[in-house]
Amino acid sequence: MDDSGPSGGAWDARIAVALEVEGGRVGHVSIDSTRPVRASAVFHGRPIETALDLLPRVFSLCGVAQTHAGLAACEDALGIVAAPPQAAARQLLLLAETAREHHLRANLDWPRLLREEADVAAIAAVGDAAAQLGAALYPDGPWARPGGGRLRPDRAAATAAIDTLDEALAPYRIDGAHMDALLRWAQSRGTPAARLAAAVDDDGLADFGASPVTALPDLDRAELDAVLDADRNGAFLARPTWHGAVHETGPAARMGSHPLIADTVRHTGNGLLARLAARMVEMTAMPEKMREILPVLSDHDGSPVETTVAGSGIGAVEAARGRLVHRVEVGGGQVMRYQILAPTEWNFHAEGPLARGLAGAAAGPGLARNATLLVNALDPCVRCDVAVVEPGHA
Amino acid sequence: MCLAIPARITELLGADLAKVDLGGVQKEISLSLVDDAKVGDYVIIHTGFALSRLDPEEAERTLALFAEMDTAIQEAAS
Repeated sequence: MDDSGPSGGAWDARIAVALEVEGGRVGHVSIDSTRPVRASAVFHGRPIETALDLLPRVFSLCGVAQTHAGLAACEDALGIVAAPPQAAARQLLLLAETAREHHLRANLDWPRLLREEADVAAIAAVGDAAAQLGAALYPDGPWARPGGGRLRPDRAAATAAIDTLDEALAPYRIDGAHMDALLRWAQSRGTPAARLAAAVDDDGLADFGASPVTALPDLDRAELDAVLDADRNGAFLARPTWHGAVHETGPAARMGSHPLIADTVRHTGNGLLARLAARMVEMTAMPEKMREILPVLSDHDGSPVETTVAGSGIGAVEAARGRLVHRVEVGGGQVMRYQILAPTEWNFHAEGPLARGLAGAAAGPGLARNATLLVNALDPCVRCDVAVVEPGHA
Repeated sequence: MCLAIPARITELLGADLAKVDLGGVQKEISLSLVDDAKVGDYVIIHTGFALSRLDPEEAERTLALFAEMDTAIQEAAS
């Protein structure tokens, strides 16, 4: 079983990483992506609401994040600010999706790396909790409407869904602010995530893949709008930089100031161990973040919207894999231009955290596997193959 | 962007396994994460698992959109 698909166009989204070995170490790292960064052109000429309905169908794995970013971009273009209850409900859905995505990595992808079976029951429990939350907020219609959908929060049901999520995530919670706590949790080997962290530590790979690439900073809205507007050929979408620098986005970048992650980075750099831990720390913090939002919820029918005005807008959200930015130009109720800047393009940039993290790594029989672990830790949204190119075979 | 291309179930193999057709390519996947999937249903696949089931009409519309997307990408590249 694999994810290989037919070749060509939108079907053939994948990343190929080639590690060129020189003098016993990885020299040049080449990253070749066929991800269709301009696929969102398919929304051009469609009514705004149609585009918003299509987003979760086209991007169903991170459908909430994509829809949230698209909705925010459309509202920005139409000059609307979402009412606090609507913004809170959307954020709840986004946090639930992020928890579910991280949990999928830990229960579907990581067991595969350990040659273990996926924990199907655990995956289903988290998926059900996320679905229950959606039903508890918008019971009778879509939430992705400019100005907001018909929000009728059932607080008891939302609380129950968050409690279920919390219970399912409990085995992944790492209590403590120092790397010792992380190592104790890993050595308990209670979950595939802990076993993978233990294997990484046991194999001396805690610092593998550490890179000097810094976290993606806040992006000034007006500046980002101008950069994207000028990106007529999609070069920025494919190889983004900010003020000339490449950046990392995602759980490790977001959780850098968390005490446990900061301590782990101090000891081992931002390598495999810190990255695995960052994803677990972020995931297990979600239920509490969600509970903090609950009080903002209230019945809301959506703000009135004049959808025929013309303008451009930016929507940015923190998706499971990192910062996701949508930019839209609208006029006469239709989408005139649609651009998506996705986290994978930062993290799998030719000079980004994957490339810089692998450059200089020791060659040897474990190299391809170790590089695959780093790919998984950075979590591209498409299939990514790693090849080691020995001298004389280039 | 994690494009979610619907795959059509062509054969149930028992033990929660199934054969699917993904744009003309046959693959074997697990159905253990979706309920009541049958031949002709469409599913979204990730790492060998069907993560969600789509109704056929919705899936056909999504596939038509992906076909348009291919055209848009090729036009942009030319």
